[in-house]
Amino acid sequence: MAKYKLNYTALCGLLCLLLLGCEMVQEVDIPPHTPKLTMRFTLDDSGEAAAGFYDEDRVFIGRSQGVLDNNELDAVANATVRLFDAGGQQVELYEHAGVDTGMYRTNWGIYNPTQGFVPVSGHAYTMRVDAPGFEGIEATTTLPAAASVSNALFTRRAPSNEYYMDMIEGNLQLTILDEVGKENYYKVVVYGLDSAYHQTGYTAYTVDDGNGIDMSSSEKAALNRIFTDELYPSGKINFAADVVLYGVGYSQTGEQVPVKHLEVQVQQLNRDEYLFQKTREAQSRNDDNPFAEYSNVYNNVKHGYGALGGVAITRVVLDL
Amino acid sequence: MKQAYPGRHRLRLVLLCLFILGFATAAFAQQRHTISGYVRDAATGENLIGAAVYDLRTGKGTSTNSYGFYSLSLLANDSVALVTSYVGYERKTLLLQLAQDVVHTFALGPNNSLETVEVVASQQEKIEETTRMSTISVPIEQLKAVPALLGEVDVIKTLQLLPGVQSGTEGASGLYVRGGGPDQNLILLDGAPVYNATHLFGFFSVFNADALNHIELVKGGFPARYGGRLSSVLDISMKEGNMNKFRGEGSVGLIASKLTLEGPIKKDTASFIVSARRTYVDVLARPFMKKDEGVVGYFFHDLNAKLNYNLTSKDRLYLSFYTGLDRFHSRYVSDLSNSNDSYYSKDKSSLDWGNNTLSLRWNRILSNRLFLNTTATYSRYQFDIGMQNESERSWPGGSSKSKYNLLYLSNIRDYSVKGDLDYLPNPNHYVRFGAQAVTHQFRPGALHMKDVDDGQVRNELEQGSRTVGNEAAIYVEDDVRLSDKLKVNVGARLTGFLVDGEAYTSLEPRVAARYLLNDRLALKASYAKTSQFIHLLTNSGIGLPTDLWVPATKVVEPQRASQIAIGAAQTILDGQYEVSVEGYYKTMKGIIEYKEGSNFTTTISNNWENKVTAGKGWAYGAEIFLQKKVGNTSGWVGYTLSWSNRLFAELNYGARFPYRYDRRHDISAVLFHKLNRGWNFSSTWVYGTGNSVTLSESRYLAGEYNVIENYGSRNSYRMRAYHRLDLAFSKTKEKSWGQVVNTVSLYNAYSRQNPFYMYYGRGRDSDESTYRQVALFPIIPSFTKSFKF
Repeated sequence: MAKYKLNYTALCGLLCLLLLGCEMVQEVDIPPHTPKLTMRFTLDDSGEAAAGFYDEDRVFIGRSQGVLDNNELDAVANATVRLFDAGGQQVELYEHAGVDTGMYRTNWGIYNPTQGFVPVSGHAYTMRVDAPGFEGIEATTTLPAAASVSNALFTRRAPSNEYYMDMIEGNLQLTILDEVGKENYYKVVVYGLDSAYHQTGYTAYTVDDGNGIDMSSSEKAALNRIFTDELYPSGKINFAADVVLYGVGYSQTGEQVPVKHLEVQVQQLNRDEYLFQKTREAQSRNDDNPFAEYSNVYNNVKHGYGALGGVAITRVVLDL
Repeated sequence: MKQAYPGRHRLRLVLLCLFILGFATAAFAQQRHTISGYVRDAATGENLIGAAVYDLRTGKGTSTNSYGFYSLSLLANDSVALVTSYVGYERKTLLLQLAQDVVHTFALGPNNSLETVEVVASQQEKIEETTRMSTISVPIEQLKAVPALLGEVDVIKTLQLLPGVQSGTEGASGLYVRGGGPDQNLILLDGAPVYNATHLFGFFSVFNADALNHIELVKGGFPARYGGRLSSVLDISMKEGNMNKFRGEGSVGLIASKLTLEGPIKKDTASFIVSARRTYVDVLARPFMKKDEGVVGYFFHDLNAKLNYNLTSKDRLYLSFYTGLDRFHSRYVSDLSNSNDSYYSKDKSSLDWGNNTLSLRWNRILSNRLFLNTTATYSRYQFDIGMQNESERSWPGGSSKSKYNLLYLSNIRDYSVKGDLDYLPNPNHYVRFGAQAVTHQFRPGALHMKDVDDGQVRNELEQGSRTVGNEAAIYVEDDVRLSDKLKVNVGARLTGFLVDGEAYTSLEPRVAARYLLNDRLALKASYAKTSQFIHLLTNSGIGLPTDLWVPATKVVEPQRASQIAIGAAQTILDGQYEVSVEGYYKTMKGIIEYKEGSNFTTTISNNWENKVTAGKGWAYGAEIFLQKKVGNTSGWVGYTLSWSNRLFAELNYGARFPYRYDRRHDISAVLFHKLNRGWNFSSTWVYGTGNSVTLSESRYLAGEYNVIENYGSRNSYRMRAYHRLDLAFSKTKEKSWGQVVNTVSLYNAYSRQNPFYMYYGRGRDSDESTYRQVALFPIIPSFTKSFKF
C-alpha cells in the first residue's frame, strides 16, 4: 500500500502541475461595429406554413451588435418588410407579429404575410427591409423547382425495441429523380397525419440514428438532414431509411389522435438556403472547438446580415 | 489548371545532364588516383556523417556521405596529408605518396580537450565552403542537452529552436518551416517517410534520441536528391549498433522510461541496436481505478531496431524498423441485474494512432569513385477509432443478446524503392544521381459498423475505399567547383505521379551557389522548385491524429512551390563561431484547405475532394543564425523575420489572409555550458510574435433563438507574444560499470502565461464580455535519471 500511496502522490502532483494552466483576460482591439439590420426567411411554394418549419417559415428581422457589446441581442419590431418579384412589383407585405407585455415578449421580430402571396418555382424574389435608424437591406433569391418523386413506399414492421411499442416503425423508400449535371440540394422529412390528413405534431426520426461518430455533416442522404446529389450522379437518388415516430399525436383541437398517414416531404432547397443551413450547422459544430478553423455563416443580404432562401416542397402521403 | 511540360523542358533537362557529364568527363584529362573509405567512430564503429576530409597541402576536400563514405581523387604521385575531422572527435591525418588508389577507413576517437578549440579542422565541412544553404544539423549530444518538457528529449522541439522553423502552439511538436504547412515536411527515418511524427496530440515527437545518429534539416535550396515535399526535409539516421562491444543506455523520467541496447552480433561484421520507450501514466493510475467501474488509460510507446551487416569490404546491409503507437482506451462493464431481470453490458472503446516503418538498405562501393545505396522502404500511418458493445438481457419469459462494433480508420501506406549513386571523379565534382519509385495507398476515411441482435444483423455499414498513387522520380546533381571562389550545386529532378488515370509531371531545377569573398566569408544563393503529390486535410492546424492524408487527384492538383534564397555565411573569431544570414522568398500553389464548414467527419466515402478548396501561399523573410559548436560554452542564437500569407478564392471572401503560424519575429537562444566536476548547464529562451487567430467581431439573431457569429477576416488578430525560458542542470557521475546522469530541468522557468487558445466569454466575477486566453503550461520541473554502460 505504501508503494501505491507514493505512486498516487506522484500522480496527483503531476496532474496538479499540468492543471495549473490558467486563463486570463486578453485585451483585443476589436473595431467598432455599426449595427445593421438582419433578415432570415425561407420562401416556399406551399401556400401555407409547411409542417416542421419553425422560425424560417416566418420572416425574422433583427439587428447586429459588436461582439463585446454586453446587451442582449435584439430583434427589430418596427421594420417595413416587403417582397418584390423580378419585375420590381411588390407582391407581399409583412406585419410584425410580436407582442410585448412588459413582462415578456413573444414573437418579437417575427413578421407575418398579409396578402397570401404564393411564390412560384423558378421565379426570383427580392425582400427589402427598412427600419428607422438603420440602413435598408435587401436580398434576392430564386425559388427552386420542386423535386420529382417517382416512388415512395413505407413498409411497417413491429417496433424493434420494447420501448418503441407505441411507436410506428418501418422502412421508408423513395426514389427522387435528380436533374443530372446540376447540383441540387434536398431534405427529406416525415410527419404523422391523423385520419383527416391533419398534422399530429410529430416528426419521424431515424432508428438508431447514432452510429458512434457524428456523420451529420456527411452528404449521404438521410432523414432530416440536408444533402446534395454529389454522391448520386446517376440521376436517381434511392433514399432508404428505417424511421420511427409516435403513433399518437394531437389534433388541432388538442385531443389525442392516432397517426393514420405519413406525409413525406421532399424539400428541394436552393443554393442560398443550402449554404446558409450548412454553414450555420458548421459554425455551431465548431463552437466548442478552439482549434477548429472558424466558419462564417453564409450571407446574401446586401448592407446587412442573414439569408433569404427558397424551398420547393413535394408532398407524398402514404397510408399506414 | 493542369501544368503541361512541353518538349522544350525535356530538352533543357537533357542539356543539363550533358553539361554535368561534360564537366565530369573533363576531369579525367589528368592522371589521378583516388583515396576512398569510411570515417567511423573508433569506439562504436558508427559511421560519421558529414565529416570533413581534405588534403591539407592542396586544400582540396570532400565530406562523408550519409553512410560515412568518402572519396577524393588527387593528382597522381603527389604527397598527400589527408585530414579528417568531426565535431567532438579528434582530428586524424594520413600522410602518403599517392602512387595508386588507396582505400583507408578513419576511426576517430573522442576529443576530450574541447577547452582548446581546434580552429581549422574541428568541425564538419565549413559553412562558407559548402554550396548548401538553409541546412542545419544538430549534434545528438547537443540535442540531448536541451532542456525538455517533462524531461522528454525531443528532436522536433529542438529543431523548432532554429531560425525559419516555427513551433505551432504551446508545447506542440509540429514543424512549420518557412511559412509552410505541417504536411510539407519530408520526415525520413533511415530513408522511410514518417507521416505523423508526434505523440500525445503533438506534445512529444516520435523520435527517441537514444536511437539516433544524425539529424539534418533542409529548409530550402534543396539538392535534387530530395523531393516530394515543398518546405523541408528532415533526414534522420538511426544508430547502426556498436560493432565492438555490448553497450546500453536508458533513462527514467516523470512520464516515460527508455532503454537502448546495442552490440556486435559478430565483431566488426554485424551489429544490432534496439531502443524502446513507453509512458506509464496509465500503469501508475491503474491501481486507483475500480475495475467494476471501468478503466481508462493512455500510453504511447516506440520501438526502434536496426541490424547492420558487412557482407564484404564493399557491401553493407542495413535493416531498420520503427513502430510507435498512441492509445487512449476505456472499458466499462455494467451489471444492472435485479431479482427479476438480468442485464449485463460491456463497452470498450479505443483511439489509436501510430507509424510503422521498415527500411532495408544496401550500400555497395562499385568503385573507389562510385558509391551505390539501394533502399527499399515501407511506411504506414494509421488512425482509428474502435467501439464495441456487448449486452445480454434476460427477463421472465425471454432473453436477448446484442453486439455492436464500429471501426473508423484512415491510413496511408508507402512502398518505395530507390537507388542513389555518388560519383566523385575528382575534387571539383561530386555527382549524385538516382531514381525512386513509390506506391502510395490512401484510405482517407473508412467506416465499418455492424449491429447484431440475437444473431440477426440489424444494421451493417461499410464505407470508404482505397486510392493508389504511383510516384516516380529521377534526379542528377553535381557539386561542382568552377573556380577557387565559385562553387555550384546544379541539378534537376524529374518526377511524375499517376493516380486514377491522371498523370502529373514536374521538372524541378535546383541550383545553389557559393562565392568566396575571402577565406572566411561566402555569398550564397539558391533556387529550388518542388512539388508534392500528397495533401494533408486538417482543420485544426495543430497536427491532430484525425488529420487525413490524401493524394492529388483529377480534381485536386498537386502542390507546387518555388523558393529562392540569398545569403552570406562566415566563420568568425578564429573559426569558433559560424554566422549566416539568409533571405528567402517562397511561392506555393495547389495547397488545400477544408472549405468553411467541412471537417474530417464529412470525408467518409470518397467525397473529400468536394470538401476542400485549393489556393496559393507566399512566404518570405530573413534569418540570422549565430552558432558556436565547440568549447566549454556552445550554443546558438537564431532570429527570424517572416511573413506567410494564403489566398483561397473560397475562403475569407477571396481576400488574402495571414497563415495561422505567420510569425513576424521569432528569436531563440540556446546555451550549453560545461561546469566543473561533471556538471553541465543548458538553457533555452524563445520569443515569438503571438499566433494569428480569427475572432468574432459581431453577432446577430437569425430567428428568435438562433445566434450567428460574424467573424472578422481570417487570422487577422494576434494572441499575446510567446516567450519562455527553460533551464537544465545535469550531473554526470562515472561508475565502475558506466555512467549515470541526473538531470533537473525547469520548463517555463518564469512561468509565463503563454496563450494556448482564446475564447469569447464572460468573466466569473463580472458580466463583461471579453476575450480570454488559456495558458497551458506554467513552470514545470522535472527530473530524469539516465545511465550508460
